[in-house]
Amino acid sequence: MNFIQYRQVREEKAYTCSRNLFLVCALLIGVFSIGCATFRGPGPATQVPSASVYSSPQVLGEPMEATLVEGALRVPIRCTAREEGLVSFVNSDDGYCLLYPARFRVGDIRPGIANIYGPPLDQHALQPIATGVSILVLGSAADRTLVQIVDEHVKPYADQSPLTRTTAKLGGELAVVVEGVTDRVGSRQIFVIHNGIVYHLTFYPVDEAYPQAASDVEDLWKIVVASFSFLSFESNR
Amino acid sequence: MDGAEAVYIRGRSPLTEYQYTNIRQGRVVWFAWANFGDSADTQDFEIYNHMAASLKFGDQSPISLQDIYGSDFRPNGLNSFSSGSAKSHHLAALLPQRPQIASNWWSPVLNSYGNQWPITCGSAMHRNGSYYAADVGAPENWQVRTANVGQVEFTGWNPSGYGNLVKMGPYGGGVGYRHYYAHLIGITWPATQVGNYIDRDVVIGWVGGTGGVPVHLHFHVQDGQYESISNGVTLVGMYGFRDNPGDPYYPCNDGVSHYNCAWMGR
Repeated sequence: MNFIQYRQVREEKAYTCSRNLFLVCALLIGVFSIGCATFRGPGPATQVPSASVYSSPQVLGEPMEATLVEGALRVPIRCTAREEGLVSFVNSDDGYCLLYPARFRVGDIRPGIANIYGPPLDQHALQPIATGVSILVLGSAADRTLVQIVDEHVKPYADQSPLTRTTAKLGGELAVVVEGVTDRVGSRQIFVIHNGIVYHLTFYPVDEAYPQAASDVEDLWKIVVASFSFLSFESNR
Repeated sequence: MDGAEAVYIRGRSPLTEYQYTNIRQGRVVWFAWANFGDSADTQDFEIYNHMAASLKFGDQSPISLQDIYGSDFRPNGLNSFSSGSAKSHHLAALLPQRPQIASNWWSPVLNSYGNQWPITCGSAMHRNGSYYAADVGAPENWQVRTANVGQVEFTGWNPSGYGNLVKMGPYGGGVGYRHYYAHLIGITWPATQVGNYIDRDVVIGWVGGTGGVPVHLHFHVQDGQYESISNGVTLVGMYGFRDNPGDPYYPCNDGVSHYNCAWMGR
């Protein structure tokens, strides 16, 4: 079983070395990577380098630096935390990366599933109100179109109204955004297909019953959607 | 299993807890079983589940158990293991037919040496108008059991904050009670398969904290559009509020947050 290995480096705990020192470090890492990496093909079943998470804008300030990380894994610049208060999450097993607010945390990670949870917004001991996003890799789209996949997914909620659909871009791909689905709570969901694989993100609560969560969930939405990128794996030959 | 109808039975023998599956292939009855001691853990159940899921019938038919035990052999006859002192809860869990939903609902968790688990209730997450749910403070890996009979409508990861969820519904869908067991750390057979009919008091998973919450069991019974554990439901093994003597117990009746306001466990 592949376990995602990741490191969370918070802003305040990030590198203390100077920018110049970092460049030296990056150079050494790059040389080491080139020397050690083997070819990594794309696809979810492929063995990939360990995921890494960084957050320091000082560290990964230049695009070329940002795209050269461990082994042959290429992390897009959009996933590098260049602003205070953002953390980068790189899920190499599932082939994507994103940014999220530093006050949130990553949890419940397993193949095909990752979650980012916000801080509790009330004092309830066991079930506080909190914002989150669940990122699911639903598997192969097979011969289905994105619209067909969305149709299948929202079918059980057809009696809920109004369900709204809009289009957006996620990771450079055309995506469908669905609002109005109420399961545990109301949510905003976004579906996208990349390389034949379906990705599904659910942001919650998007629900008038929880106005205290509106700010958090909108922050999370904006940051995640703007930064979400698919990873590519390249040969270092 | 392997395309054949199966009856899943679990209970406790005089010696140990056991769990086995009776698979009918035509007129041949197969059994797969495992003996679990009191220390059975998630891994034991996973091994069993893997065994059950991977079972394949061979080309050669064995002698049927009816041939061995007689034509009046019935799978439920297996539910005869018991002893005077052992706690006996023999269950035909994966039901071959559709029994009526029981009027009494059972607490989805057992107590621990007579002590019930506290319910923290009144969470705003469970209060929208007039619906409520129970957050049961049972420990991680504590067994979660079906509170009533039902058919698995959903099993797996819920992306809107329930985490690992088992949702049971009325047979064949449609209108009726639906019961939710959420934040599970793991789900076990027979709840791992949508469509399975499951009896009351069957272990379907273990308490966890998935979905970004502290460890607890979220449990509610939904009748129509409302979450409720009091809406016409008598829950055996729950102690706490009640409006009037003789009313069923339920943890929250005023829409206000309470902590440790009730207890659950039987």
